[in-house]
Amino acid sequence: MSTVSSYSARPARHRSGPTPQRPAGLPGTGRLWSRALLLVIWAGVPAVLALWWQNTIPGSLRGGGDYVTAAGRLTGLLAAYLLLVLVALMARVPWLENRVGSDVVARYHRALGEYTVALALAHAVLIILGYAWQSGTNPVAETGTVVLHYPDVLLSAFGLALLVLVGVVSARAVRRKLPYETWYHVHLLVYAAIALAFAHEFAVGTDFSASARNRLLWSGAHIAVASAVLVFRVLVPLRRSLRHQVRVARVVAQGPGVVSIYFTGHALDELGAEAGQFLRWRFLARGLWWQSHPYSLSADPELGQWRITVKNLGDSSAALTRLHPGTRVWFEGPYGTFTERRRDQARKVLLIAGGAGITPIRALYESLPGAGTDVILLYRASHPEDLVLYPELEDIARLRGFGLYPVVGPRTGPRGDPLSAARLRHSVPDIEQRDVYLCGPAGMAEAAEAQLRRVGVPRRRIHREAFEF
Amino acid sequence: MRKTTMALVTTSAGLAVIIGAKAESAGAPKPALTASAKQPGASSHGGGAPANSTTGSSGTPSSGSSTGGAGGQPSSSPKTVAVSGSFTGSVVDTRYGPMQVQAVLSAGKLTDVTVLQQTTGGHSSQIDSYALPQLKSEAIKAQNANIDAVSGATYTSAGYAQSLQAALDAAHR
Repeated sequence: MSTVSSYSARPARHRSGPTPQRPAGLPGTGRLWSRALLLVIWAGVPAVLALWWQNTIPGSLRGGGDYVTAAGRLTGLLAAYLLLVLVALMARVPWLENRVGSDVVARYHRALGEYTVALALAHAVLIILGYAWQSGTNPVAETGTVVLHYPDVLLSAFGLALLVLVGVVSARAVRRKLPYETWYHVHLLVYAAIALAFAHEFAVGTDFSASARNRLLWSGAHIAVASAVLVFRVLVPLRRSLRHQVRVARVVAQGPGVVSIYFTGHALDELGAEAGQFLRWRFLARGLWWQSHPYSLSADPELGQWRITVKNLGDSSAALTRLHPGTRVWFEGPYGTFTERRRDQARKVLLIAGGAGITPIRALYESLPGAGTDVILLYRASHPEDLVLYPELEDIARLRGFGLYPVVGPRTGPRGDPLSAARLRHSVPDIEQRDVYLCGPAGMAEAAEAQLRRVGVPRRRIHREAFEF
Repeated sequence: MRKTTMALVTTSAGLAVIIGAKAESAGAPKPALTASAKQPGASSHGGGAPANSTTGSSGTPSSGSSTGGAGGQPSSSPKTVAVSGSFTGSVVDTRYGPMQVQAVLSAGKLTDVTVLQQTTGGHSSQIDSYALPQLKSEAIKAQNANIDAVSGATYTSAGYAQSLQAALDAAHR
């Protein structure tokens, strides 16, 4: 699906690009799409507010209790809307994954997620305080009344608890300490939370109990999002996995604790995977089948084979290093906009990689056209032994004449940040003329982007793939 | 985290503005018995009380003009013989269910209002538990259906007043 739609959409990308005279590969379109997405999300907010406005009769707001209750209703409506948006963002809709970019979508999801949990909590508190104020009861007693005696509110209270739990495991401090799988599976509770909350929205939600039209719109939105989740997160991956019969071909040691996993499959070229893209992999092996992980293709898939490169970090990645050839693989994807199409083809390219970020960069390095200084790769690592895949990169550099500079050393060493503006300029004198692809750990990527801006690379020519999902 | 806090602060301000605008758009507190509800012989559909005013704030029939309540007076003016007995009001459909009251008159004086049907479900029941006694004492004090809506109980108040008006109309017919 992504193949067909992405290629057929190329003319559209072209038209919407900022500089129509460019031949192809329109820089900045990813940003344009993300703005379009933000616009769509924002457009829902006035609609939700209008729902409240319309269903609140003039003159019903007459005292503090009324105001607090009104604020509670509004925060509730907004939270419910945003929850739907959050799920839609993660529904793996091809347009979102391959135009806006999976990393951008994930970033929006993250930013909105915290806010939405806060809104849902505010809704509960404000409604209870408002009701208590109106009826002159104390908030504690009112909490009992509302939660236990109002229809379906008890369910929604469980929903809120689940939502808060998801919020907690996603908070940066907690997230860092948790294995990816735990975080991922706790996140799935959001579906339960929304389902639990849905009933009370109709049973006690003033804005829905009175208007059949509103009920229709509201359930329609839920059905649409649920269908998207079902289709793009379940049915499409299932169909693809069954059709393409992907298996582990071999597992090759690539250095201490690093392996490359090669895959075979039926008619993989139909999927149109591009260098720089990633897939979510689910290995049907003991202890692994229940989790899926995103890994970028670490070799140009258009050369006919899929490959990922995995570093043993002691968690589930350790098990991947011991996979047997023949293991069945289910997959989602390919996803991502970190591809050759992002760049202006008239320009030379600078690739900057750090850590696991080398995997998509390695594929791009192999697939980008040109020769000599058309492509330069800066490979950042703290220690020389962290330069995973380096021999392969040397081979490509030798074959194509591309520039390859390892940038080794601590960021806070005596010579300062190896990716400082001055040193970037020194390594790549025409740096501000280039399209830059940047992929690495969040801290490194952020610092590098700031230095690139200082050295004069416009933001639209910095293509960055965030590696946090 | 800081961004979220900022967003929440902004949201609070935005909500305050919207709620303020909505409250402002309503004007002064108004009697529960709205203009359209004062028509005698209200049918079971209640003739367009707030229950039906879903078309927003701009032009609801109740805004402003109803404060005088001129249309409500004649029904309670005791030109007729002083009546006694119980008079059942019409059933008024509110968005939370039907409201119906019975007026008890003793020698032309309104002495009691009993509720025959009240709104149901969740918050409505709770609202009724404090709003109905308040509405009753207001009505007995005013000796007519020109009573102020109880805060937070707009629909109940409107349905109550409208049904009571119909009951009083029946008594003085």
